[in-house]
Amino acid sequence: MKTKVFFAEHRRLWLGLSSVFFVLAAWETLLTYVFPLNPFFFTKPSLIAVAFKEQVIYGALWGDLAVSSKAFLWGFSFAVLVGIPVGALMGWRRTAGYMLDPFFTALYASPLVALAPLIIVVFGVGLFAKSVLVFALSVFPFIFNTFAGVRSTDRLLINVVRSFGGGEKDLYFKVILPSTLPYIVAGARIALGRGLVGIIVGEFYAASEGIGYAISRFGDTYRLPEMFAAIFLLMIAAVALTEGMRKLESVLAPWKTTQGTR
Amino acid sequence: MKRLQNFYSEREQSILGGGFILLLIVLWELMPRLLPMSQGFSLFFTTPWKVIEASYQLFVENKIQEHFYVSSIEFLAGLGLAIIVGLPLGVITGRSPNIDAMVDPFVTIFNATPRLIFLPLFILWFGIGIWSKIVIVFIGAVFPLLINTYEGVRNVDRVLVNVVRSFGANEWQILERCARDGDFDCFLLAGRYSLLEQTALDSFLPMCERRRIGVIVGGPYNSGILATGARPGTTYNYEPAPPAVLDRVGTLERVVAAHGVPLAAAALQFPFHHPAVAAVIPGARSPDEVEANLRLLRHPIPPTLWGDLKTEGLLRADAPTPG
Amino acid sequence: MSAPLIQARDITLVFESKDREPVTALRDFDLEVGKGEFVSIVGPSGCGKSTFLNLLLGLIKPNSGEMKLDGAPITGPGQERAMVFQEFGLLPWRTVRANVELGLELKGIPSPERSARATELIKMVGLKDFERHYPHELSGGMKQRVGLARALATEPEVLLMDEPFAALDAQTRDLMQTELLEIWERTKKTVLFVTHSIEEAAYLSDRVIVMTARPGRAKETLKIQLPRPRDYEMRLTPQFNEIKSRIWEVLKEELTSRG
Repeated sequence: MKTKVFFAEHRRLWLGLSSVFFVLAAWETLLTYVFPLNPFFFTKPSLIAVAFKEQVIYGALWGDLAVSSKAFLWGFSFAVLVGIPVGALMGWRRTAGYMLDPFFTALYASPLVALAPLIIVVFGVGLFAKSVLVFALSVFPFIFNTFAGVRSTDRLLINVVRSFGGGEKDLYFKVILPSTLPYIVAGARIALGRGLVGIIVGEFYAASEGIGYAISRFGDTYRLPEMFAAIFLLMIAAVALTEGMRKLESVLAPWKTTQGTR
Repeated sequence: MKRLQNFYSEREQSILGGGFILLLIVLWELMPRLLPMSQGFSLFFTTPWKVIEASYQLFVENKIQEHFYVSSIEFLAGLGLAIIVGLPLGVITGRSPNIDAMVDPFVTIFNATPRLIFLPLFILWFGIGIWSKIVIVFIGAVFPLLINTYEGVRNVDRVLVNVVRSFGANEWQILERCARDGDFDCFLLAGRYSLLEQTALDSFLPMCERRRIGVIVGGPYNSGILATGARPGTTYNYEPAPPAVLDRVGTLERVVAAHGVPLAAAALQFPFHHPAVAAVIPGARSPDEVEANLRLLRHPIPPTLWGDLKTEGLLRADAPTPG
Repeated sequence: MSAPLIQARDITLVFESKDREPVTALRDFDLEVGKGEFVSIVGPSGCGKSTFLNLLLGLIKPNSGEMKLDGAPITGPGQERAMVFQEFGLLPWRTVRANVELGLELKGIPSPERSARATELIKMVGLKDFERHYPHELSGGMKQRVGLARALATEPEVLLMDEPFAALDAQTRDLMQTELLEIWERTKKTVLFVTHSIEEAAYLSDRVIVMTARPGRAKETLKIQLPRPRDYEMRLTPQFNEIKSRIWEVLKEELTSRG
């Protein structure tokens, strides 16, 4: 009886897990007993698992992940340091907002990955070029979300703080910043996704290390289990980061009901 | 002066925005003249004017159009595919919590992962032609479509759904569904338990009997036909009766008349015999009709009438009747 | 009456607008409030009563006229005046306690003193068990009590209340009115109370000022001759009804004149 209750309460979890398990099992079975396995084009979970163990624990994949992370962190950190103040400026000073908005919107809307070849040409191959690409892709969500956050600051709260004798500094730190924080964190989540695209594309194009490089290298040499292992490793990292962001959002802004944030 | 001020303030946004972009372009153009550039660097540098010239060249030599065309095909095909797959899937996962739970881990994982990562794999599988691009566009577009459709379906205002539902509550299925979610004292069921139809006997009426929910039967005459009999133009379910129904009513009339009972009397009295039925609403448009209904209610009906109806297959054998 | 605490004379305020005609909110508006008085302002919508409160608060400046508090002209916000806002205006990311302490914090009062004062006020408004809660967890009435506590924390001389109970349901509103009177009796503040409700104005105040329609001017002042302390039963007496109808007579003209 207790197990029945447990299953009922965690139904979503169980359904989810079983469906993943089912898909993996079907994949394995179909390619072992039903279809011939052409190793140049397909692979199956058991082989991927072996490759994963090899590459991650004994092989270079962990190192590749570290290289990618370094470039990602550099680019992302600068995006935070540049994007938030610029967005705040745009939100606070109407003139700055008017001036920069169309230009940044045009850049935000463009698929900046197309600039990857240009960036390689100018900055060469390596950590710096990759960081620039990550920066270019992840700075705009910070700019626009901070912009929106500052603009949406409740006028009433500004009046309240002013009425109790608050000065400019008080307005910034006691009203605008806390009010904007949920927007910034939401922007961080979007920027994260875009930054990951940046690092992957950068490494596809011209790199000698990194997860993206590993994936394309394994592909070129038809080592499919290793390729999938690398893909899975990145997937795990991506999900961990994104879900972590979500948790952060709910911790930092419990008073905002965020609906449908995916 | 004032006119200039007004002009500016009305278009402030576009003037500032456009002006800034213009300024950047001009500075870019003037850069080689303003800044010293090494030979090596100038190899990698270009200016707006040169870009315009090159664009013109490419356009004139018809080089860029072809590429643009191919990319558009790839993009639109991928997007189209994403819509065809993503929208229905979004609706399904939105409506069924079970399917949603099963699909959710995959959607979460794929949504968090930069889909571009599959590019080498797709190139491996689909070659370097048009299909690998279509697939990558597809996989990039399908998740936002799926997720947003899902959210849209989930957030449909429950009140609106209920309004639509309540207009159509001529089906006992809806009431049965409601009974699952809530505690009701009685239900008003219109038209679905009468001499012509007894499908509610299968599960709905027994459930009401079990849970002691009183059933108020509306429309015992099925919007007219069982009161008037099989006349041309008479109404069944608020529309002119189809021939099959007219036929059946005609047969009912015959059997009932053989016992000296008006059809309307049998129709009005029939629902009362089910233990779950608490009341019947015959509807009347005039005081005469009210009095007529009362008379019909009191009209004596020999139990053999019901037996005959059942034998002739005009009434379900399990419909509760006296005798 | 001794020299009035608040004095406003010939106040005119015009709102300029970029794409519309300028709007004169107040014209030649006069008002006086004595120390310790509870004065209500009623008037038709848009007559400028809330605007006047904002002027007194120091958030906006009039185009002409003068406003004095205790003889000194009002030039900006100050510790002697505090407002309770209609939409509460609580900072959503702060707890009840932190919200109450806001005014003290902005004045630079050190933490232990702030804390003690906040505790006192939170107790006074009856929210002792909720001091760690956030505004989104509170009901409307509770939020307004926080607003009241916050306004009282800085020990202002004047309490400005801008339709503070308008966003509450009828029952909570009645409750809050009585609580407000209790707190007022205890703290002896001077209160300027803006409301749409004639009944509320009559019940709470010593005097009721009826304003004209826009551009607003003080049309008439009525003294409320009900004994203090007031209790709910007084609202049911014929005397109270008479007071209400007198106010209504004056106000009615302003409502019809606007059409």
